[in-house]
Amino acid sequence: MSDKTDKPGDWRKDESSVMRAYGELKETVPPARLDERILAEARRVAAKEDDTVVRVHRWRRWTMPAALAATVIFAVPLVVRVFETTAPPPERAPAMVETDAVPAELADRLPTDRARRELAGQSAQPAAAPAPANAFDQPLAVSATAADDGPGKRPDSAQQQAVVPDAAITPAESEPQRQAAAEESRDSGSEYPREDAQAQLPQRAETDAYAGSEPAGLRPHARMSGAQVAPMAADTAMANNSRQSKSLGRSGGLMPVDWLDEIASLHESGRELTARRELGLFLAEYPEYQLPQGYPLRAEEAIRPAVIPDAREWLRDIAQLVDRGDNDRARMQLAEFLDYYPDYALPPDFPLRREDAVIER
Amino acid sequence: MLPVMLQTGDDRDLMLRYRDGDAGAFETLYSRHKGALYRYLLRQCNHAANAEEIFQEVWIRVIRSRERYEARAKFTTWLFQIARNCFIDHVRKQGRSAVDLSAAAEPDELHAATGNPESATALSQAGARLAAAIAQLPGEQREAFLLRTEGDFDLAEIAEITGVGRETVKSRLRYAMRKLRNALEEPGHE
Repeated sequence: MSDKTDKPGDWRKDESSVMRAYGELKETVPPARLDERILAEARRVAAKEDDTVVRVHRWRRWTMPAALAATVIFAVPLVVRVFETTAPPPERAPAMVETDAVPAELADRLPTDRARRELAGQSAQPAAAPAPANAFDQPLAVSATAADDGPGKRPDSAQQQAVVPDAAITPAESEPQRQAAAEESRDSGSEYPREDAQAQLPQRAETDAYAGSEPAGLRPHARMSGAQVAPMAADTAMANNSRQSKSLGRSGGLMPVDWLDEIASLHESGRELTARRELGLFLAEYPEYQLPQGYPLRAEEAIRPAVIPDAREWLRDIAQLVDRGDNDRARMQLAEFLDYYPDYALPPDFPLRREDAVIER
Repeated sequence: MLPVMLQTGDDRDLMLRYRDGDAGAFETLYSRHKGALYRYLLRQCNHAANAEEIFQEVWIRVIRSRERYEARAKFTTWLFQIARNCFIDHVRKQGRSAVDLSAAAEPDELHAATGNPESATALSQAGARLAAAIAQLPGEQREAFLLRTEGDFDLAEIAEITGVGRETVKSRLRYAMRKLRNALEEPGHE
């Protein structure tokens, strides 16, 4: 009856005969005392939390809206305050207009003279041209008086101060002057409306820190003062900002080449996911940077910032690993999470503590 | 027997209802899966007391994680993943490897677990031989076999639970089935 050949594919026959015999063993059940104990616990937990379930659920329903409202309430005044207080002093405007040394990484954000003039169909001239296309020329050429002065002439600083196009900064500016400035701006074909122009001013102020002709990607990060290698160092001021602030480069103040070295070290130590995420942040920061030949990771392997998991979702996944008993993986994931969100406060009911995090390998 | 899909969906619904506070839903879920889970652990541990301890721990985890349950996977997949992990943790606490547990179980230890003192004699000769052969399997093959027989999982699901490839699971099952069949066909088996 039985086939004693060892041909591959016979295992299905093996399975059917074994399963038939196994049917007898399927009658084993756990002892009744175990059933009682487990069911009692299930009932106790359900009953204990029953009266709070509705309240908890109601509370939870409002968590997200409350968080959003709080964000708006705090963020809007903060942003307004930042713009109000960080406008550059008017006397610096001519120098800023003259320089062409705008770093490449800011070029796409900052309206350059050349780009704007090309758009406006004008030749490259200092910002005192009668039809200004540069948002940063606003203090100079926006004033109707500057236009009347003709090309080549720059308004003096007094005029600039008088026509800084933000009533909040120069409340003394007269309404007619502001209106004239607005019309000038619109008529000039400026690609930036006044609102955006004002928004550019604070950023423009930062360009002074980048004066120089070094190519983009090799210039030290504006915030660094040295080769600070601290992958876990957190910039407290940025701790509440987007997850992009938590990378090596931005928070650690690394030079790009050092940053790449750190990423390569992560890769070699087996922390593949972290390495790929860091590379994604690096490429977001330095999109034109060419990875060196022989670099252990390719640009295509980078995990771009957009796909980095939300902190709460990530923690929930880790908690679920713990629920399943997969503690090793949970602890490694927690270590990765803390790499990325070093200042994130773990919820009080989280099943792991920070000390439980394990660096893989 | 209900179709698998309907049964699976029903399990998820029960767990979600329990998550929302329905203790009766848990009782249904428990009674539906307690036997398979218990036998899985019993055959893995080869020791009734250990199996009971892990069995209780698994269900306690299910109870305590109910609020985080999201029904992403089949309930039984989730349940047996917990069981597997609890078993591995238990083995580690004892300072032993899974291979050490492949030694043949003492008949009394296994039979005592049935809760029926007469069950030891109720097993036929084939049943007893099969039980012993299962205990003799290498840990990985035994695990694959038990997930197949008790969990009613297919190859892909077993691969997901154990974290290996589908072909690896197939290979383990093949060897397990072959050995068990040979054990059943030893001289004296009718």
